Amino acid sequence: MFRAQLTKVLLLGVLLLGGSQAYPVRGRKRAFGLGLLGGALAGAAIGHAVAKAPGSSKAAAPAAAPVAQVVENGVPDANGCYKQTIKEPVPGHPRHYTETVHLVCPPRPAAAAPQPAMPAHVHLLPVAQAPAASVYPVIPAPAPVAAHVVAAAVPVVNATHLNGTLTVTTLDHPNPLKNKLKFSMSTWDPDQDVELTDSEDEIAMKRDFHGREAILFVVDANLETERFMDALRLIRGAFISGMLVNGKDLMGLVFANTKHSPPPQEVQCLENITVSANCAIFLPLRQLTKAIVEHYMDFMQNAEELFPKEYGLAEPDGRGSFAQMIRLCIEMLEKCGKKLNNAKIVYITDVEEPHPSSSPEFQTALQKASDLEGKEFEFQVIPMIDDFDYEPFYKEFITLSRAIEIDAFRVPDAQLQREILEDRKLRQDFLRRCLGHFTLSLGPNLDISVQYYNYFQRRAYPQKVHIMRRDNSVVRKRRQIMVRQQDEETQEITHEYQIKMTGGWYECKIGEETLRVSTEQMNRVRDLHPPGMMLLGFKHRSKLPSNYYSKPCSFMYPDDQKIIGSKRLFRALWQRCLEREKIAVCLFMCKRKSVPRYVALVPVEAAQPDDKNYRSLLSGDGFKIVYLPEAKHIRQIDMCEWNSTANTATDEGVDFFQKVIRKLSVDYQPNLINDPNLEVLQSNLLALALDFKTEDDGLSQLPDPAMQNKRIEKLLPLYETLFDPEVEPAKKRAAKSNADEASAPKVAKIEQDQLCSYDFVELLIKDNRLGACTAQQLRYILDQHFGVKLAKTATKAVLIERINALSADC
Amino acid sequence: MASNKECLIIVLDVRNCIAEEFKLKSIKCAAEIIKDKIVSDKKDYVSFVLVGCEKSKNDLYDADHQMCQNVLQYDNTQLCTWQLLLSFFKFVNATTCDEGEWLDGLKVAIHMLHSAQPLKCARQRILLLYDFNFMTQRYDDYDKICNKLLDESIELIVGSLNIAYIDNAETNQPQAIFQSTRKSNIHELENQKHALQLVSNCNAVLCSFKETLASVFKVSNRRPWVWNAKLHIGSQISISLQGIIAMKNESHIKLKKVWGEKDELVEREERFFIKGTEVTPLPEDLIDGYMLGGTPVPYDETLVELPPAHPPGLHFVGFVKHSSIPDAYFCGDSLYMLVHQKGNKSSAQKLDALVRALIAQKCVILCWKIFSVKFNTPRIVVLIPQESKDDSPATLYMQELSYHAQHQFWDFPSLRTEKTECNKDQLKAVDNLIDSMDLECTLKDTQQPRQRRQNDLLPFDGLPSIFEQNVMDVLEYKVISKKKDDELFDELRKQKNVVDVFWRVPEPIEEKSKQAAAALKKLFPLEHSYAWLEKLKAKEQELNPAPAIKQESGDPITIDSVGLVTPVQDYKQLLQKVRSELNTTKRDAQFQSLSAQMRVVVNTLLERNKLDLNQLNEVIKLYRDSCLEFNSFAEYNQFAIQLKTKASERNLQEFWHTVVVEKQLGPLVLGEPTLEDELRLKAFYTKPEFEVDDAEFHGDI
Repeated sequence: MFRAQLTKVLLLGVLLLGGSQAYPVRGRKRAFGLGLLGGALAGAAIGHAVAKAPGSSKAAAPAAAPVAQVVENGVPDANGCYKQTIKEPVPGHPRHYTETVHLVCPPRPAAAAPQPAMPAHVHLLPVAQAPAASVYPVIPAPAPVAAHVVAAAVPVVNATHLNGTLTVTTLDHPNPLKNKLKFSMSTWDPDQDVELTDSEDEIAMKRDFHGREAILFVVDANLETERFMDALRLIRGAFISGMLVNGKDLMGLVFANTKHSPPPQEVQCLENITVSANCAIFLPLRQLTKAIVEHYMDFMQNAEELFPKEYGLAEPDGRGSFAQMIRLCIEMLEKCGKKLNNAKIVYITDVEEPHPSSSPEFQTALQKASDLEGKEFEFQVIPMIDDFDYEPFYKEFITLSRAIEIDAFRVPDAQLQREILEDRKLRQDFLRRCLGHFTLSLGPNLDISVQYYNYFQRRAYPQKVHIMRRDNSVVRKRRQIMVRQQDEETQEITHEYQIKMTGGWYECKIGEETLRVSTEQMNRVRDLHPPGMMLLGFKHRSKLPSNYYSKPCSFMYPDDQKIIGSKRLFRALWQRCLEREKIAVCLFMCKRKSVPRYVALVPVEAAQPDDKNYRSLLSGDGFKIVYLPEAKHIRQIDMCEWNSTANTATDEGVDFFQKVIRKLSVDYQPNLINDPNLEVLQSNLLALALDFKTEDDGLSQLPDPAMQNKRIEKLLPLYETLFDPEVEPAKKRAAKSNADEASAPKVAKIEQDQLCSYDFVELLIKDNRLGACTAQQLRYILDQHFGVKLAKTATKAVLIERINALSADC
Repeated sequence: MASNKECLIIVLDVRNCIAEEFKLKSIKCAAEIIKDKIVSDKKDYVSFVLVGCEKSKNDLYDADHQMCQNVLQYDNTQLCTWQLLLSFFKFVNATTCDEGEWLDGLKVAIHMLHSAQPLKCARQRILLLYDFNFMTQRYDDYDKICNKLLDESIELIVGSLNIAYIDNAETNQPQAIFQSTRKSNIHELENQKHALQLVSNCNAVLCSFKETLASVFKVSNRRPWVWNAKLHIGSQISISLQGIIAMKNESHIKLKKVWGEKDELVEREERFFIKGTEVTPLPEDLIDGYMLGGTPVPYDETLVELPPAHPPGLHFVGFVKHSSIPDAYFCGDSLYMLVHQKGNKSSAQKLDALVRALIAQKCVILCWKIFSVKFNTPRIVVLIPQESKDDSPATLYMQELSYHAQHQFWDFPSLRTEKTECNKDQLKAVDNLIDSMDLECTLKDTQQPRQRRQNDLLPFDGLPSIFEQNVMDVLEYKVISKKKDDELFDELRKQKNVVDVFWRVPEPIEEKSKQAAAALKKLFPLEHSYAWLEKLKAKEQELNPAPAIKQESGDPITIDSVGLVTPVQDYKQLLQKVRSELNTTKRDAQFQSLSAQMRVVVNTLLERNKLDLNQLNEVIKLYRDSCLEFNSFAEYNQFAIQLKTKASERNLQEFWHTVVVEKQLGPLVLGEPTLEDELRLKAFYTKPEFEVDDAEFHGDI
């Protein structure tokens, strides 16, 4: 992450310095080097970015630690045990360290010592983990007895809680092993945990970048009342859906071309920001909260009256400086105090030309585009009229701000833009948000650089949290794996340490010997080949079976920044594949340590400009990456038991369904299909937090069969004559092969009642007759007599082994 | 994965008269099978038979010394373990001879399958790896053995040398033949004839070495796991269906993960934190909730009425045109196939009619899938019709779709621009590349013998799992060599084959593709961008920083901002630069920018979980002195107040006492302090309100 940040910083620096390079395309003017102020600002931004990068703190801290070292010793508790943090370098990665927290207990000479001598090297650090007595109900009290009492007094409610208290008590007091097992095993058994190793491949679906997204809305005061209110409603929609979908995003709102500049509610935010003339900040970039949205809604209520009075329209012609507006936006984004990975300025207007094209302001405004490009801020204009003409100004401004050729500009559909904006979605700039860059090798020494994108994100539910009833503070739950060593005789915990989920190792058994394979080694197996894509050959498009599916497709687009000339070769390849209906078959490893996959590159084309449905938003020109299933992922199913000549329907039956299809055909409108459960949750959340009532009709629901019945009413009588009523096939299985015998229901050989008595169970164990019990009964024995619950995956053999081991312990 | 367990006997040809290469290939083949079964934790039983050993040892020979000579049988039939693999490698090294009959090998294998019957394997298979060469063989029992295999439904897979494929003129199906460069002798022809007849006599699969493994791994499942569901259209029409997983993106590697030593207790615990501080709340203190932007909203059934669970099954939404569904929106990790409920004739006919009607109308079904009462989240799915074939009834493929809220709307500039326009030669070169790398049309005439079963160099249904193969190879290597990891990986890297075997253009088109690519390269100038290389260099430098640069003070200043690694040195350097600026306005402006950076650095350092107090002391002191130097009193004093707030907010008692108070790093005072200043300073240094009582520190100070 730090690296990415630094690259960005360096790139920023390079762009700042290199801004003075001439740009000879069609004599367009470019903004040249930035002034002193700009330089200083950029400097501050660079410093800020460096300092803010959280990864950098990791890189900095362990700089001088060659071997394992103790970094921190906690305050000893009543027994003289203290927590020790040890930092060790990861072998093979000089800059990576593992930190483990151990519980160190010095041998106790006598139990009586109330306050043991403190080890000399212990720092007197306030331990964050030990909360104050007055605040939290369950605490490790100084004296062992007291702790025990506290723990005992706690009502047994659920396992989670018990785990919490148990930790405290075991540290202070030896605890019987049986109890311990009972508590821990109920949820999880490390012996039985089987881990799949293909998890890292999921990364591709996750966001590949860090930091927050920011959207700064700018509303042009020139919009007449109705359009202005429409714009405000759009923003309200965006605010609310933003809060629901991605709560961490920052949003801001500025009015442009106003006469006055009334301060925002949060006045102090203006301290280090110079508000340009004819601009007014309504909301600096903030993570939305209930209060902010409520404030905005209050404003909206009276905006029709108040806006002309308090803000007004710039004089004389409603044209404030566009360049100054952009400057203000950049300043706000830069000083928002959070690390941003994707910042957008969304300008809502109906004026096609901010300044007359002959005016000097027009040129200044255009020059601002390169500032945006240098800072990687996106600029979008959302026209409030449908036939908005981009030609006079915005086409050039936008292409400049994105550093693309002017003839590559595709005019977006205004209405669609507004619609998706309300869902807080915007057409994303292809440059900023790719999942990754890589090289596509077409042959020896013939590489082009490309980047790839996803068509959709992961499903985003609002973040689930635990909240303290007392004060509504957010409680984070973290799962930890604790490893403890126990003294065999005294059953006392002698050593305790925490281990990460990624820690531990895999075991292979070779006879009696056990071989360990660390996670690190597994990672090295992933790292045997450098990432990239390699062309293996071509096939005809028809050879790709339509029903092959492995994982969601991606989209590939050339990247002319790394290898200049990539775009042209990419285009040639794409164009010929498109025209000749060919697909390319490649081997693809998207990043280091990912799983290599075979992919088919299918050429796709952007929708025609007059195509105005959602489909037109799907993608542009480029290759669709179709991930091909590995042979092992394709299940071979023998359908002979389903196959029968009696399955064939009559032609009347087919006709009947054709009629049904005609009656019940609908258009696929993706924007109308949403997760019903999510919508219910969201509307409930809005109702709870903001007193918002969502109308029930607005929610996606499962379809009403009655409506469907009505449409096919006339056909239904025919249905009953054409098809027999459904008869559930007999459940009996034909006894044929051995497998059937094995899966026949088990008849218990041992009476359940007998198992209640431990003596009987003991007898079974002694006579080695446990095998006669069913797995269900073995589980019952474990639960009833030993207080152990094993994972559902545990086999009978494991269950028996466990019982034997436990009974031997007793 | 739902697959029934099998018992597999591998019969290997080890006679002296066969090529060493053949032997190695068959051993590798057997090893791959064992490895795959170990790593994916399959419960299959495996054993081996060697044909062509000096010693004869097998159950049939033991009973009658005239029977099955020169055949060696592995001791037992067992589950696959690494130990078995090691023993197998030892076992194949038995002393060999020229004699040995493949039918004897089959006899022993069949006998072993008989003795393995108590293991209750659903499937019994024999893999015969044999070179049908010029040595004479007896074929007295040939028919008997063929019938036995057929009667007992034992599957036989035969792998051999010199096998090629052609398409059968009548059925158009690929068919294996023996192909030889030289003229075969009469015995060889006789042997090959019998091998070929196995296909028709007992449904054996005859294949080349390349295809053997694929044939062994291709196990069809007769009783897959099914999801029972009903498809309702309206409330009247309902079809009982069974969902079967047709494809699933999953890892087959199953390794046991361990977190602690044998004598250690491992527990997974849940801990609770408020702003990084651990708390132990009672369950009744907590309420579930969701974040709405930055606001936590309590949410549970006591506050809102949760909607009732949806009934499980498939709920029809509508018929839509197939072409209107973009496959780019398909999501999930599996593809289901829906087939009628087994044995339900009425459903079968309805489904058949529906599927045929859908195909005629070019439509698909859009519906909601509710998996069960427990997994109750509705998912929108499309059902895509598949017409019935000889070996399968009409089915629907069920594919999950992503929701609108997830969709991304990218804005990609057109590819067809003036700048990317290509001339005729360039397009021709691209066409040439496409043609010379054609994976399917290398053999226009399908009657010509070819190496692979399919007329395709990279068939889509036979793609290997590269990662799984790598894991298996590394584990095997580790088990055999017991090398240390570093050596192990170094050696593996050297053995290019292990990894790079997959990263290669298929051999038949390799040479042609190289030439085409070279021609393409000449016509399309490609150049690594200088800026990008610089960036790369910077990245590398950041990874392996050269400490020498920073230590040499005389050098020109190489940094442009204060970093977190060496803030003191950075700041000193940059300060020096600021001092050298002659224009005072500029100098002040530069200092302001620099000091802003420094404040951010200090704040960041303070946010760390473990504070480096020495560093903080140094940094703050340096910054304070510089503020004094540049007359930046107001800024520093404001910053000092920030420090205090921060210390109190984050409960940084030690920092406050040992750094700020002890080193007197509070606000700056201009000239001699007045009484007012004194009071102000005193107020500043009084302890801020810490959350936890700091009695201990009082004692210390």
